[in-house]
Amino acid sequence: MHGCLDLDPLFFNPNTDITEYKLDDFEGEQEIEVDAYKVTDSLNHIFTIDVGSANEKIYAVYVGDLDSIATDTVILYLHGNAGHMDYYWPRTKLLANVYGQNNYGVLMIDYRGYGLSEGTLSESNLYEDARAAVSWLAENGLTSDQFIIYGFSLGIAPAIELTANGAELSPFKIMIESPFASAEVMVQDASGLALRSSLFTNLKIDNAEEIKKINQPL
Amino acid sequence: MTPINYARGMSNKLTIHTGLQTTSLLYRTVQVDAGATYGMLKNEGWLPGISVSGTLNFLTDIREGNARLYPQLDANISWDYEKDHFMYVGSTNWIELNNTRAHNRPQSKRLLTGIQFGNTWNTPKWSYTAESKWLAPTRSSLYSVVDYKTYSWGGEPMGAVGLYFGIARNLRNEENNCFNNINFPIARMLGFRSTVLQSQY
Repeated sequence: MHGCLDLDPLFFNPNTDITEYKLDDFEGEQEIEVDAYKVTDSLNHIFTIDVGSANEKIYAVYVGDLDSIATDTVILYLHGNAGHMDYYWPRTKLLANVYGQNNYGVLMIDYRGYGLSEGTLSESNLYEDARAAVSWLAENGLTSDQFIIYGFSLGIAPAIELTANGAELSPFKIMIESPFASAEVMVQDASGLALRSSLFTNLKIDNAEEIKKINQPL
Repeated sequence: MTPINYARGMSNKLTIHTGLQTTSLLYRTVQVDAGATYGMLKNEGWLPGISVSGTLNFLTDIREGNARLYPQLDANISWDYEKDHFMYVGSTNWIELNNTRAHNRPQSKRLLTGIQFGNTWNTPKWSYTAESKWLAPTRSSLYSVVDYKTYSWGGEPMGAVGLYFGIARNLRNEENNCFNNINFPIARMLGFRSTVLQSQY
């Protein structure tokens, strides 16, 4: 006899209480405030990408000129485990304006189950969604030598996974912020005991091990 | 966590007990325990009763078959009052046997300590326990993935606080029940969440 409940969903903390993405007009809580950074409205593009065998739609926002992705340097921003894209929108603006007004193209996605994106998030879906975002950039002409991955918190797992194990594009730089080592470390920190992660969760995220495969500047 | 426990009085000082964590089972981890509690001193007036308990906790998951064994040492002092109540204060200590933590980091913390206080109300057939336990009160939980509700020290959350409620059925008649003649708690619980419901049967 054994149960079928899972603690894995506790690791994800999506917010689905929105009916549309408002970006600059969003009045809810945001992760940081960066009022000084503006992005020209015409450079904000919200669209969907099909993911998975069921062709579920996840939402994405691209900041930049869609017609010049092939020649621009683009950052794929993989957000953290809370909220949705409006919550992280200030970070996207910040990245778009590093070293100058609208200097970088930035692509951000809401993983499955976040914001208006369909489906439910799991570890494999997390990687699959990020991989689909990379494919979208490749389809729009981006090349590896102008591709940067930026992972924040939860987002460092797909950032490291894709960089370490390959995707349609291989970034020439990877940036990680608020990283965590692995699911096992989180289980041990939370329990105070040297427990194996499989005693609590199906998650096998092991950033500390995967990052050893990465040769790109960090 | 909702364990099902069975305790049997072997003498007027010794109780053996075993338990199964049913909530863990629902999450595909088998957690069982077995041990003994020894009443060292009976409460006399203001002098508290003293009991010590040794337990082995075994956990194994159905996902990958990983397993862990944790010896546990508890000590409690207790006072009887109002005929069928007793209150207690004590310490729970889980002993870490593993020499390494995740990613082969050396093990530096061999003891997971908790402090608890509670009250038990004994009736001829049932006993009811309410307990509060502060696990790992000296360890920061600031960066824990679980947002524990707990006490803070210097603005930093420390450990985790759990509330436990137990109900136990007396399976033998009162005259012959050694367990009921020993006034000390047998609460042996590990709480990973901020609020934990325990039911003993």
